[in-house]
Amino acid sequence: MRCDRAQALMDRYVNEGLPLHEREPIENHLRDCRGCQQQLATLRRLLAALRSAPPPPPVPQGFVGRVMARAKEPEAIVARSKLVLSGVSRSAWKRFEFSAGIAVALAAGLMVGMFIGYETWRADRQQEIASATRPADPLAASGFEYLVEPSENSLAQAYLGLTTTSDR
Amino acid sequence: MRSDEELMAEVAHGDLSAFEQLVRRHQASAWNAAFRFLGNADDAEDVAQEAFLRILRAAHRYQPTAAFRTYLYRIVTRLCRDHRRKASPSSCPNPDAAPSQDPSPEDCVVAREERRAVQEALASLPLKQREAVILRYYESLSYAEIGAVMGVSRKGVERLLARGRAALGTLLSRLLGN
Repeated sequence: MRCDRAQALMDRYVNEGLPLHEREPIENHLRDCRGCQQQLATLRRLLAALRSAPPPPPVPQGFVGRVMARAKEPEAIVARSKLVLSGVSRSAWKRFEFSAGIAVALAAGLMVGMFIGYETWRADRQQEIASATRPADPLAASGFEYLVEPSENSLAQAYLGLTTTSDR
Repeated sequence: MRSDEELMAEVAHGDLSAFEQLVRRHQASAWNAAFRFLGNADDAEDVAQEAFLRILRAAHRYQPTAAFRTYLYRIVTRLCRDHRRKASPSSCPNPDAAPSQDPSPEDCVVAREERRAVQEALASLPLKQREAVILRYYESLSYAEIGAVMGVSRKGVERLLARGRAALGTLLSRLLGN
């Protein structure tokens, strides 16, 4: 053990029961180190001098009674109840905030669900109405395709011109 | 016997008899520390009373993360700091404020002078060193407890105590025979 470590532990060595694994190294070091032996002696003299100071006088008579009288004073009770109430109202407000948050989240979820459901229902309904009101196409029903009059300069018209016999 | 923490839980629900038990149990710790810090019986009583009333007012916020005694010392220490800040510089701890002991053959002039020198040396330490020395060597708190009371790390406590001891060693060198 080095001197600085020994000196750092010296106060606890003198004042507390150091555990064996800390006590043994310091005692081994002290056996061989004259400087640390002197430091230890100085510390012991200093602590003895500090403890020679007179103790404080005893607690004044009636101390507990005076504290209790002040604790029972109306203003002390009011101050205490305000603090307790403010603590209670703070916790009640926190509980309310938490519940309100959950309620708002649930309501928002419900509204989104209802909106999506309504839109789906509306689309289905429109499709049903459209299919119910569409007029029946006789050609489509009988498998015929629409016949369209070709335009005048179209290839189809030219073909018809070549193949059609005039009645003249 | 109910623990301090159990009593505090009852105090938080407004039980004044539990509070009275706490005051009876810890009055000496609060009083001794306040007297050592301030060196004056009137101021020490004011601070010790106020410390208990603050504990009562704040009981609903108390969390038993540290021993009740540590919590009490923390409040006493802060109140003493405030008191010293508000007080005039002349109201430093008075070495003569301690009660005179009954005369005895040992209580000779030399011994009185030695006690006076120790108290003057203590009073002249910087505030935090003084607090650490008092909590350690008079109130027998551990390094961890002193750290919790003063709001400093364990290393910080070691440094404060080492500086305090070095300063006291210098101031009391004649007395210590260095």
